[in-house]
Amino acid sequence: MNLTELDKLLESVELHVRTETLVSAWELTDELERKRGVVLVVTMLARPGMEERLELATREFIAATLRLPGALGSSLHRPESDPRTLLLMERFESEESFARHMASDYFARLQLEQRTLLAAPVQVVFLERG
Amino acid sequence: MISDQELLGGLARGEAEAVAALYRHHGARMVAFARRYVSGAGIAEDVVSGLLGRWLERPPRVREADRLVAFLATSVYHASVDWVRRERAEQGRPPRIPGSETERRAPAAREDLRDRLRAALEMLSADERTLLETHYGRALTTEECMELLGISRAAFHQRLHRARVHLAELLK
Repeated sequence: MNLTELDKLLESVELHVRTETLVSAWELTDELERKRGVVLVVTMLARPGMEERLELATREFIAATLRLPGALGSSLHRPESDPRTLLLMERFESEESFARHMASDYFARLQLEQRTLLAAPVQVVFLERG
Repeated sequence: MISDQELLGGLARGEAEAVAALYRHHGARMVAFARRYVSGAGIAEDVVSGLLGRWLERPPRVREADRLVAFLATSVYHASVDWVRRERAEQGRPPRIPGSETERRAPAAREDLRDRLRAALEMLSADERTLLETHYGRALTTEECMELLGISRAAFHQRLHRARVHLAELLK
């Protein structure tokens, strides 16, 4: 095998990088200057039989959220171990955009729908805030 | 202060609180690390939050002996590489080497090639592997690799060339 063939091979079959090399890279990585925003996970437990309706309502909520200026991300996750639970992860660039989100019509609409869809109050865990 | 082993244990049990604690303590570093491999700070944030989301859905497999830093470095690196690969596919961009020998091979033949590559890599010295991981895996920058190995730029290029020749010979 010549070097051109080797280069082609390693472009199509990724080279396995050892853990120790990645640890060295990690230790050489400086934390970047970044503006802290608001990152949170909302846990929702659906009433039995309401799982699909809760998911649909939450997906509409996510679509509306992502149209809001300052909303950086919103994604829905269903733990494999518990199909009645939905986890909503949200990211906002600032407290102000998070406040606008909470004051929005779509937020109020979801809260209203949740009254019939949830088996327990939502739980909110903040991963980052201001 | 939660210990690294407690964090890993909580992650393995799929606890949302453990994911949150991990992000609070290590999120900034995770984003900075992802930034090395993807093009843009916003994308690096997306990579990390996508990874956390996957851990919430399916707790990661964590071995008792795992070190938190090793776990995070490998997880974020692979999530970043996967993101780049997915992005290329979504943009309808062709494989990096269209119609290359490996692309044309049947899956079994490709797997055989991977095995041969793995075996050949095992026969290289640690320094040779570091050089190749820098060049092909983009795990380190050239400057970082030079610093780790304590060599000049000229020596880096010379030794990288030798490492490539050595690997090519092993794959003959």
